[in-house]
Amino acid sequence: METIRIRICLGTACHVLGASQFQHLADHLPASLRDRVQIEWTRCLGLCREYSGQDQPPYVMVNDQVVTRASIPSVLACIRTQAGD
Amino acid sequence: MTHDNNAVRIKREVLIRIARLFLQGRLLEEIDRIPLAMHPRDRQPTRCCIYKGRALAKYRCMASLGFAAEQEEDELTPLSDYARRALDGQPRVKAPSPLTVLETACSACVSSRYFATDACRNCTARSCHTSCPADAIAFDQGRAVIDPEKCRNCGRCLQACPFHAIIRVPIPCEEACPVGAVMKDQHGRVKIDMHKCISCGKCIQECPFGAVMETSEMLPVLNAIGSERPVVAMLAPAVVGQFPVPFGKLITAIRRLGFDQVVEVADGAHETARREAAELQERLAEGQLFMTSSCCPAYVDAVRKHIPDLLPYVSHTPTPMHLTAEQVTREQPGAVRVFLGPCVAKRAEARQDPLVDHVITFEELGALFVAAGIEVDECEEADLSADAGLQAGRGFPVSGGVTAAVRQQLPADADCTTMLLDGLNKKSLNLLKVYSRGKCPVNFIEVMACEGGCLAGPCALETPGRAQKRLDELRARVCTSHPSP
Repeated sequence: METIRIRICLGTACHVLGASQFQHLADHLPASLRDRVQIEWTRCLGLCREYSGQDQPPYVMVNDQVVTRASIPSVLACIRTQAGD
Repeated sequence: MTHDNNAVRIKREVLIRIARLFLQGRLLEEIDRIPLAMHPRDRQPTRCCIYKGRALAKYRCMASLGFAAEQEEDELTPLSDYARRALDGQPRVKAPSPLTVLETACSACVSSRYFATDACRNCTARSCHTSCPADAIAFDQGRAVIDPEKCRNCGRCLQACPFHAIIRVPIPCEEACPVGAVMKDQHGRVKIDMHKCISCGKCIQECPFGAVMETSEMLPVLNAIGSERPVVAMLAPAVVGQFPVPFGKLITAIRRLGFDQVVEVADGAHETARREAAELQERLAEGQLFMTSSCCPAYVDAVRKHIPDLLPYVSHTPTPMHLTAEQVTREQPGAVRVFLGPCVAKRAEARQDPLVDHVITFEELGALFVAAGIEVDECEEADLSADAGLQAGRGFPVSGGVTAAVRQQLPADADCTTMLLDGLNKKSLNLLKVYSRGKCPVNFIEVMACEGGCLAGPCALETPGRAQKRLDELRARVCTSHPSP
């Protein structure tokens, strides 16, 4: 099974709009997915510039997919889709 | 509540949008669109409907412009009108309280705190009923019902029920207030008694509806930055771990916002510790039994308003903010002095202090970065001073840090016992009341209104745990790389 790569943006906009909630993301992963998911904290992914002015942070990437206004439930939903659950 | 939630997010989003419009020079033209942009028709409403969301966003904008929601005279006054007045420097009435209540945001949480739930078995014993001193419990459709008009909130029914069918529903703002300043009006909506309020900001943090806000000073600061006068940023020691970057980068980022000079209040904190240690020795020599710290403004206000007998025991040493402002004023007369911190009560303190012009919170600082498009991590790392005194002052924002810094200043053989009151609550206030009668088991008490210290302040951006980790790292790193003499 392929690894699902989660990138949590640590850029200023994401930080101000609540990225630190994801420090608990690992605790929320279902047991069936825990070994398949790899969580990374990254420097600014630059997505705030791409979606500039729309105030969509925090951004999280699940593989190639961007989750805007990310929250733990929305990231988990995206992980499940990617895992084919 | 957890640190990151939607109420906090909305508050910060409003600040970002206002700062951005200001920086783009379009504040007056576009501010009235903010409520619409934040609550578009196609997004699911968080309250009853998008229109309520928009109405609330308008009040949040008012607070972010520096106006209290209570200052509204005509509901039809557009935000652009408030913005114009804010740009003219108008809301700078030195309001006694930095807090404002958004009455329409308050959900009027039920006043009766005890509820009989579906778990009620309609038992024969009915011990809830027999234990109730107010005859507030009736039985209807096979279950207990508590009459909120009669209930006295004694909680005996809760203890009596063997099925745990009765629950206590707390009112978060009331529960959070350590001094009983939060009350309800006849409609059940929140009211803050400003004669009791100590501006600790715990109600801001705890209200799940974001119904209490602080009136922002972001706009006057942006105005000052655009003016001829030099603007000095005085950074509270709690700033160190607020962003996930090395502290030196944060200093550069703050300069890039347009502050002409950035100074650390840790410097003033060191001076506070030095003077406080001297004052303590003096007082003990004069026969006084004990002294308490005075750097936490919410605590000092609590003493003034609720435990006046303790006032003689509170240190007279000025706060780190004041001492830093004094130095800035000496070196740069005419500069605009802005304190940056995690604290609402500091705003109240600054409004009484002629040496401090404005206070902005870390949340507002973050909003300014986002609005200005400054990526803190991409800023160059400024050199940090490794001055030993500064290093000691950097420890102030963590509970116990003041005591540690004061101890360092006392002679090694000084016979001095200390105590930490970490967080103001009913219990610690009662303890202080007992000590105010002149009896205290220790010589020095450090009091912090926020549990954990300033790092846990109501307007901090980072969780206290992470912020402390970064602060510890900085203090260790700067110590080892530049050994102090």
